[in-house]
Amino acid sequence: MKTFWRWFVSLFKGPKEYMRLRDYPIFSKLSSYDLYLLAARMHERRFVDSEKIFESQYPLEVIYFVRTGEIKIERLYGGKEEKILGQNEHLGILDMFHGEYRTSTATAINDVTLDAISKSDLLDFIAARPRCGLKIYDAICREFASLIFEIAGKK
Amino acid sequence: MNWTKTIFYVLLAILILAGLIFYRWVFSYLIAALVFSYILDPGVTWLEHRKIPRWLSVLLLYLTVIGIIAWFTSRLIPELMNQANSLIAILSNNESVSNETLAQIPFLNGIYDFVLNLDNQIPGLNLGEQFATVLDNATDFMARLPKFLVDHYSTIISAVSFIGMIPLISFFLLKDKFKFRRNLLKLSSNRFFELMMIIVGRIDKTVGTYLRAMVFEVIAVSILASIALQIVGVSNPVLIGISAGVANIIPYFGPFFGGALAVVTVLFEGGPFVKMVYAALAMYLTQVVDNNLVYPVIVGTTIKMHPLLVLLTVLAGGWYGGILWMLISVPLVFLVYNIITVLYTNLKQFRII
Repeated sequence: MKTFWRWFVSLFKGPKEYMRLRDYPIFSKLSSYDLYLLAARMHERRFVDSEKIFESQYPLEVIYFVRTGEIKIERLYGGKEEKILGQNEHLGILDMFHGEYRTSTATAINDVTLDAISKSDLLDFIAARPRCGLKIYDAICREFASLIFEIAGKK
Repeated sequence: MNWTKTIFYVLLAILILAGLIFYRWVFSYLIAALVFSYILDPGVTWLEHRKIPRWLSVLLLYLTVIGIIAWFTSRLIPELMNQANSLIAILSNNESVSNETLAQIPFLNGIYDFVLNLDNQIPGLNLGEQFATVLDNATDFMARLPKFLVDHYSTIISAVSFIGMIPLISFFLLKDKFKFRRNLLKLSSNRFFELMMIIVGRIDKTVGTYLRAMVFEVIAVSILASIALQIVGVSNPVLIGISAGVANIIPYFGPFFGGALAVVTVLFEGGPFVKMVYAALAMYLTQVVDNNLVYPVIVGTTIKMHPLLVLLTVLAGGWYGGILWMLISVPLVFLVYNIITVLYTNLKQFRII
């Protein structure tokens, strides 16, 4: 009976689409209401195999999160470097703290679905919800720390 | 040439054109509703961040606005009507104005003598008579007002329906703001998505900030001017204050209108010369407070338009559509200029042009 009731309610409520945002590491500690607000500001984009997502030196406005598929990132400064990004990884956060322009080129290497959010929307969201912002910045700092250790380990 | 693609785009263009023609009557509703929703949007967002659903936030804000309007109507409108009648009476003297009536107004004696002198010296000039005719027409119009209301009841009803529809359209614009934006951006191809995002974001921010700043400034100047004029003892301070606040929308030249209205009221009332100076000073002080305190805090930056361009825009607006267009032409040109700048800069940066 309980299962039937849940199914019946879900017919009216619909699945909570926004909960899947929690799969992205930088949003993993946000409350469901934070995710609900964030989801309203997100845009879904689909790219086909070999399609350019952005090029180096383009203005940076959108931060992408990989929902499905894989993306090749090419960094052109300090020697050519390539990296493959997969599910739940993001593009643009590093550049967001660096400047106004992209420092790399991103190309889809198979069919890709991305969640996109405007940099200004994200910053406005953080400004309006400082506690939530702290959680996001904490997650970003952790990622940066592991990136630094990874680079230091390579050397 | 891909014929399928071409046919699709041609059909799409025809469909869009047909849609524009079909919906052309509701554009004015939509624009007014957009303005209204831009003014309320920060309030809705603030409430939404406090876990109140958007639809309920909009309703709560509507109730607040209705409350303010109800309070304003009950407390200020009767007084405002009295002041309007009194001001019209002062300016028209409530009867057909003759040259002798004008001559009785202190401080106008000299000017009136000068005008009569000019009339005598230049045959056919008739400046004094023309001035009296203008005031006669104003008095006639006031007398014909009740008949005008009866004759134009359909126009009045459509105006009321216009005012009634705006909150309804605004409700959906506010409630589904992000949904509308998402659907709009869905139309753009991947190549132009980021550019579209920048343009939509900038337009949203510029238009929103500007409209809210304008509304707050009108309210602030109206209150400041009303208080200042009340202190110096000018008649009808609230009415003149509100007129000055609305005129303030026009940068550089708007403030002069408020000052002139205050001085002219004292002049026609027959007040002493020193009162005219006080009225001008009160309006000047209002502008000082507005320019140095209100405007920098609310707007942050002023409209960066050359005074000559502002003057030409106001004149063109006046020729095009009267007082309403004089008020909205400067903000409109400012917004269009901003949009074109953002578009051009980003098209270059995305290597599209």
